[in-house]
Amino acid sequence: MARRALVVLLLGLAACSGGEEKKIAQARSWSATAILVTESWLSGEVPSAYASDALKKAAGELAKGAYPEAADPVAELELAVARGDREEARRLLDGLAR
Amino acid sequence: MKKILGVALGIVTSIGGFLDAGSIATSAQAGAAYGFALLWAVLLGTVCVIFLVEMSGRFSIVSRHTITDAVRKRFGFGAVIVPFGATLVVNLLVLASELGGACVALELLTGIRFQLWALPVAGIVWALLWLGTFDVIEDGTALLGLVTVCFVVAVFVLHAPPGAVASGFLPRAPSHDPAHYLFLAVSIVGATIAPYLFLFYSSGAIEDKWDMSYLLPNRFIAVVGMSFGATIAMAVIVVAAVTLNPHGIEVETYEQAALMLLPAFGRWGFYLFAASLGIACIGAALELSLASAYSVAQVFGWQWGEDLKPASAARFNLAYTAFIAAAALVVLAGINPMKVTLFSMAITAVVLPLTVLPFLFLMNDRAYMREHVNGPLSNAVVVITVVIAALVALVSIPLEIFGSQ
Repeated sequence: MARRALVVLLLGLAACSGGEEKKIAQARSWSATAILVTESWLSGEVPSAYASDALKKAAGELAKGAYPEAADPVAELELAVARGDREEARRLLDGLAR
Repeated sequence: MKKILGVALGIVTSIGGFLDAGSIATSAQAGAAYGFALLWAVLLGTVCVIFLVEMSGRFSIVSRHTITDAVRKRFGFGAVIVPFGATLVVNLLVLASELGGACVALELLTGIRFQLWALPVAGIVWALLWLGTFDVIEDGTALLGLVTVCFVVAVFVLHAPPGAVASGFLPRAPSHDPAHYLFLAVSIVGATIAPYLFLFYSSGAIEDKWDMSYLLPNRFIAVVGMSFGATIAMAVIVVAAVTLNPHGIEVETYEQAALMLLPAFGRWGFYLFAASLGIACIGAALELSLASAYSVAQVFGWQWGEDLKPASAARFNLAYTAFIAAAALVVLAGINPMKVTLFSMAITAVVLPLTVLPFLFLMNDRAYMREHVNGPLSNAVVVITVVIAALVALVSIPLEIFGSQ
């Protein structure tokens, strides 16, 4: 009886922890990270090397996640940051934030 | 006067040395994912670690033994080898996470990939141990670690809502993903009650030649130092809850965590985060390497002591050298250091009973402790916390692994 109750509890927790909901939350999290990193870079709060690395990581994670199409604009943002092109980064950021 | 200064220094080093990769990673992830809701886990772990640190100091003062040494003598080599082996494996993972954290801090500052920092960072840790004395290592890194107080300052700068913060000290059902919530709770408890902390403290009391006059200062250092230290870990949760949680950022890497101090300090926030992470991890790596080498030497009955010349304790020095080299290899493998940290903290919770329960047995043995044996309250708090944390960790680790596939 106790063992059965434990199995039911484990299955319940596993159901709550897995699946699409988690992947969607992760994709949202990486998109929000990309936006915050770019905003911080534009306001001079973080170094370019960090911003570029963080955006590359965000694009990579988004490509593996629930919305792989969200990876492309973040990858473009990464290229703009790597070039130091603030205008382009601002334009792409506006598009991403919308 | 000398003793008062010693106690003050002990408290300061407990504060500066409290935070490590485990505390930063688990607290940042908890605050970002669940807001203030996991503050209770830090509180629970802190109450337990205060008892354990006080006990380990009292044990060394009264019995003139370190914990590992006494467990071997009391229960025999055969009984000590299993918990010792398990703790050593966990220590290796935790050391890898500390070295990884320091490497990431350097990556944040330089843009050079963290794996490339593995050997230089390991070399620095090894050189400090080889060339430094116990006091230099214990006090120097912990004093530098006071930079982590910036998280507490940030709580006030950000005007964190006191009511919401206070509500986080009462455990309640999570808003989402209960399996991840439990995993983070046990990881926080594992990060707070790291066995290396009280094993190191016990060996340190012997290295510093504490006598019976240190019983009261030991209690004071354990309560005040650990409480203030835990305040910093709680502040990391609060800062992450205020700055990252509203954006929906779930911290999976240190790069994401590095954003948390920007709203409080602007561009200085980025450098303060990197400095806090780097210094806290180097300090913890030093303590962990020493604690592991102490354990190896004490289990096998070798000569040990950080203040001895390397030639006088060759096998002790070889032990931490090998340990640091092995941990550096884990970092070189390139696994996400934050993932290594979170899993090593949860596994720490699983093996806690193996280290803590034999120690508790000794704390109640009048042959070692005379009239200074444990009271029922300290026994109950430690047993209940450690056993529940281990059971929850056993359930939540597989769920975390399979839930993230």
